[in-house]
Amino acid sequence: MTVFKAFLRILARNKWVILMYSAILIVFSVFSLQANESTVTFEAVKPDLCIINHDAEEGITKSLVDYLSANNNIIDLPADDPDAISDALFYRKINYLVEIPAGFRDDFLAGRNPAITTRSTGDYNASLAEMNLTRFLDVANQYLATAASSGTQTVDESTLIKNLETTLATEVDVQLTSALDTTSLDRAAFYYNFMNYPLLVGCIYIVATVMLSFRDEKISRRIAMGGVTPEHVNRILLAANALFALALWLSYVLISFVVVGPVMFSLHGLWLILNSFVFTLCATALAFLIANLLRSRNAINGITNVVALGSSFLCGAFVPITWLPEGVVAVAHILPSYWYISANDFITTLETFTFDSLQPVILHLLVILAFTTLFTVIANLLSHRRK
Amino acid sequence: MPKADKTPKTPKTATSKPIKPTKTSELAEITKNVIEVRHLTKTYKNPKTKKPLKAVDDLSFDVKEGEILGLLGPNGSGKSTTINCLLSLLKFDKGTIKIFGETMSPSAYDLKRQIGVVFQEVAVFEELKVQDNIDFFCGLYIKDKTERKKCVDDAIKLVGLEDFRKFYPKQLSGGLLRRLNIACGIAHRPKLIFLDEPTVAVDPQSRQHILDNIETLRRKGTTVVYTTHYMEEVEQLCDRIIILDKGKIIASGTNEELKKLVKNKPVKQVAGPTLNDVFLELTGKELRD
Amino acid sequence: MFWHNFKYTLKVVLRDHALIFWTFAFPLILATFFFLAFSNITSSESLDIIDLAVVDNEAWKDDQIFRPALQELSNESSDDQLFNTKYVSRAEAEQLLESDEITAFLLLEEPAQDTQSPASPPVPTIFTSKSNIDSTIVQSVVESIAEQASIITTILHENPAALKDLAKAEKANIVDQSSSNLDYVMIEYYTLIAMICLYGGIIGMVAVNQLLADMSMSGRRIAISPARKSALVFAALCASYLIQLVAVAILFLFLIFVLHVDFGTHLPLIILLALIGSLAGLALGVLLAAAIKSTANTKVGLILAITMFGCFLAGMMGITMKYLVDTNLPLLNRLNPANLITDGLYSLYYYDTFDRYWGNIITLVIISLVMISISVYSLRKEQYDRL
Repeated sequence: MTVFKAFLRILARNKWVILMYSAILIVFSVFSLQANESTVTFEAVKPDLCIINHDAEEGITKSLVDYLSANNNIIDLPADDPDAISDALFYRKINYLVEIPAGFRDDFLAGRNPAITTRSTGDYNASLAEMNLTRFLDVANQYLATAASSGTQTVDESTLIKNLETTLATEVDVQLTSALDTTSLDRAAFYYNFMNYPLLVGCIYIVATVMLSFRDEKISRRIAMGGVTPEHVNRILLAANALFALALWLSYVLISFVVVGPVMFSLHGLWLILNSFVFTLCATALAFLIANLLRSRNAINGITNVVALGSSFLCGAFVPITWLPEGVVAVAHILPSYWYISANDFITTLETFTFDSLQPVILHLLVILAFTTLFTVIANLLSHRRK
Repeated sequence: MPKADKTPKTPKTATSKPIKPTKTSELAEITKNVIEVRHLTKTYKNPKTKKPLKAVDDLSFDVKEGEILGLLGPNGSGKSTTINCLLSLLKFDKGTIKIFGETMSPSAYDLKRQIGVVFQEVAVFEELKVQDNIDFFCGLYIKDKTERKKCVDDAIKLVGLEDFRKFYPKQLSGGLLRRLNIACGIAHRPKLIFLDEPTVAVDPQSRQHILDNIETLRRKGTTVVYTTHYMEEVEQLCDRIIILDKGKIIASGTNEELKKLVKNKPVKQVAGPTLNDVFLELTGKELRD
Repeated sequence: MFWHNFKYTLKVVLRDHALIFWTFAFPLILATFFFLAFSNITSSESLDIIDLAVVDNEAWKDDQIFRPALQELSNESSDDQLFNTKYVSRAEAEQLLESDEITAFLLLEEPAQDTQSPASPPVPTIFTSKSNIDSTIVQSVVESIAEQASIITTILHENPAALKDLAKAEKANIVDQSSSNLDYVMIEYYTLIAMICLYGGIIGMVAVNQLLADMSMSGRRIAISPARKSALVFAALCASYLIQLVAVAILFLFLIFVLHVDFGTHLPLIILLALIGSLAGLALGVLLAAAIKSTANTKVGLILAITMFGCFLAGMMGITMKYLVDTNLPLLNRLNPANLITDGLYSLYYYDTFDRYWGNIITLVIISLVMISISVYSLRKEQYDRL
């Protein structure tokens, strides 16, 4: 029993490190997984747009502002603070900025085609916002061109606006073929993917610290003299470490219920939990392997972070797999984290849970288990060779 | 232990160092005190029970110039605390400490310059070689490079580490490490040296070497305060002995004076060589490692 | 005394393998991870070609509105190609959608025949599995095609003679004034600079630890020597600072010349920020050495964890975090040294004015001074209650 107590004491001494890394997970999930409403009918994405209008909000200008407001998420920013605007663009708080010049209405109706200045983040949402703006101006110009040739001196603005708005109200029906609550599921995937990092850090750090403390020559000799076989000690350590890993995993799962929400109670949630459990086993085995490779305690911090951060960056825990370069994804296949994260992404897109549809997931789990076995075997080999 | 060693020693130079007397009460005639401790008291608060614990209780004693004082006592008797107070490492509640006639304090740099300490725990840099270690610590005392080089070389020679100058502490055995520890503490040729259990876990050859070193130091006129649990060392080296228990002096005096305090045990006549003598005879006095 | 301790501090620190790893190797490793993970991001932000399918039915074959337009947009040799389109049966289209090979498919159907109204155009319906940006873009494009048909109908109805003027209509006049420096992956590299500045503090921490009587045995030896502790500490700090600066310089060179990270044009100001940032790291290290009583290993773990957390808040694991903290808990990031360094670099890159930059510098200096003052106060202790 004293072996177990020693384990607990080492754990207690290192609690702040574990808490700090767990805090990263918690802060991350609380902040970035803001609750969004999810729908089961198609809802067009609305880019975040800021309008700075130097003209009077009347006539065609008003029509433009109304149209942009209806099709985008309007974010208000102080017009006189260029830094705030720059920031908002940089951090993607807005995707697109539209600046309507003074006298736009008059210039437009006179056929001078006044320029609208914009600033863009260049991403998908910005492209959509630009499409919206272009649409309005193109259609408005077309009606202007045809209105001008009706022979009157001035253009009939109200007719133009009426036609414009009627045309722009053209809708195309979009049917959603899937009933999945994708927003919540994406959140769940995000959380469980990010969890890769603190889970690996926690497991490797604690297992390595404990094993190296016990492997300290003087201590191991003392244990050997104490009438307890080294195998017995190892067995207790193995159990203690596994217990710790499970406790860590369980805490993170419980937190996910709070932070991600009710979607965790679905089959999707269940499979995410199962996947993370299998991965925890793998992480523990990896931790043992690393503990057997390390020689000095000074290296623990270094190895822990290199392995945890490396696999998190390269396998899609921080940057989604779809955004990673192909070469990186190819290499990432040799890391167990890749299979864990890839399985998470897959689970959250599943529509049905049949044996067929689950096959890829099961395959991923088997690969992770294979890694686990491999790590365990090598770890045992190394530990025997040391004796 | 051959008593023949304890003959009066002739001074090496004609200068100030006085003739070392034999271990008799003639010691009392030498009036120059290197260390004067009066009513030293240090209390710790027991962290669990919150009760005050007197580690050192109204301690008063002197250490005469040129003598080797043995500081004995069971574990927890206050030896280390006393030494740390003397060195101005620890705060104490009451009392005065004078070294070389001046009050000791953390900023008494001139006093510190003349003191050397060999701690019980090895106090060296793992990342520095033997020579660099000694040079670094010596450099805290001696600024002049030439003089320092000489001191370092002498220290290395004294402890017998010539062949190990370029070794790192990790590569040294226990005995060698202890010798490095000593070298670091005495390289700057201090006049007063504290040795706190310097021969713990050391093989007999190294141990004998260390004891011989201390004898050499004494011949040069150095005052030594020596802590140990090995009574044979005390008998071999120390001019006077103080025994502490629970922070108080329970006995002090020379070897013979102390032995007279034990009433009931018969005086053992050691007729032949001791086991230590046998060991050294058979394995040789040359240093191993 | 100064050069004596300076020289030996260098020797001691440079032989500490763990220390060298953290300050020199780890940032380079992490930079490489970043490079691998992020090299594709900003390019994947801009609009990619969307995979689409069209149900190749009778209505489609006969259509004159959508078919030509979509074929034009699917033209591979065109610069404006938006879609990668397959023409398949309905069943195949549904299959492709379910296996995620296409974003959406389009179905054209003849409208319900009303004998009284003239032939109406076919009705398009879009089928998709997710409400996301891709499907919204598809909807938007199809709607604008439908709008063109609507315009022609309206003009025919109101003023058929004007139809020929449609071709004269001006195109939307949009002037893009986006800042060219919008690569927001840069923030990740900036957090790396912040990290190495702060990790450098470990050197100072280790160096000072060796000098303290209650932290190490060598410190005890030093305490009883006539050497002034202040002189020793000062020399140790200078040596540590020098090593830190070398490490930062190496990282900069690696980022600029090997990974081609763009830091903008204000090199001297960047260097100044690096100097001050390293000073902050040093101050942090000394503070931990002087004020916290614990083993050296635990203190190293603490600096690593604190720095990692600070860098996380500054955007290392996802830029959104930085923005969220900046907007919701600005005080936290105003005091977070990792963020001050990151933000300073960001403001040099992105803004034309330097107010924000100098604000960050001044705050860093103040924080460093505060930490140093606390350390000096703790270090002045020359006697202890217990050892």
